[in-house]
Amino acid sequence: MSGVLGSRGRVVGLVIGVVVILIAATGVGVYGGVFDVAADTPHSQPVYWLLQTIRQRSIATRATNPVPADLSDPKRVAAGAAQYAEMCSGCHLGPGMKRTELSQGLYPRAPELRRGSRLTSTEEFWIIKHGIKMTGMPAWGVTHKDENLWDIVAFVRKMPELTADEYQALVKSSPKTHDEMMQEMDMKSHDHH
Amino acid sequence: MQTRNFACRFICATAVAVTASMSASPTLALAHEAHQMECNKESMNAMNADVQAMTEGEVKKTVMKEMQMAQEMMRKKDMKGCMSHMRNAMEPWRNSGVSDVVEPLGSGRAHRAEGNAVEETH
Repeated sequence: MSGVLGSRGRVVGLVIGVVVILIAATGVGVYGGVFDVAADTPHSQPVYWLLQTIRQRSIATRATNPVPADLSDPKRVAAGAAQYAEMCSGCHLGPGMKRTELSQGLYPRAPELRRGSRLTSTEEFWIIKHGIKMTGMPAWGVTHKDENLWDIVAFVRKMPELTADEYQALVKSSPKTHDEMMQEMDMKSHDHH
Repeated sequence: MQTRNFACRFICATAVAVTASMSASPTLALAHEAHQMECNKESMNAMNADVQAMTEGEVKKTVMKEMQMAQEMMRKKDMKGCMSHMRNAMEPWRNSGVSDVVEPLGSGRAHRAEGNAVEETH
């Protein structure tokens, strides 16, 4: 009996010891500035994998908006093109674009959406609307209506098929520029007050 | 006594593992901008960030392997060898006929444009 209690006591002591060390290591890491937050020093592979997995699961769990039936409507795609060129291309690039300074300096890298994506439409919408913490991806839903964000999703899903010339033509053919769209939103908002 | 030795070894191993996971050297990666490719820490870090964003697959594995060798050459101060491996790393990425999905962020159906290689202008 005393033998069993003795070995159980040692196990408890071991567990407590490990917990104390983990807490101490965390304290040193946090307050000692051990962790390098520089954007030009990438995470180690284990940390990168952990953060990526957390992000993937968080988005997949929360992206539940129903997809509009007219998502592939050319009018939506054209409207989204102008917004993408204004709001997104600086980081995510567009067909024919050289890598910008932003795209080279951001960490994690902003995905080059011209190459396609494995995200669903709903996930793309969620990301555009809510942004992603600590990445530089803004929550465009704070300043834009859902309909406008779905236009961007419609364009993003079309973009991998476009050549550089087709992209430019689509942006120019958009019914409204981004500024015109924002002014229209502002006016409608004032009309309601 | 044996248990105490085991406990000490276990605690030490745990501490080492925790520290190592936070500071392990990143896997080397490939730069998109070939003309900025250099055998130095800054370039290697930039490349690592790029390759971390690549889709998992054979292209990424090949690129990572070549870049590990490039880093090894850099450690040995063999800059010619380093640049050679970095150029080798660029080839599979450039030659892959499929538009590379840069970062698989979530689950779901792919809508990549297969076979639609996008030309980057430099």
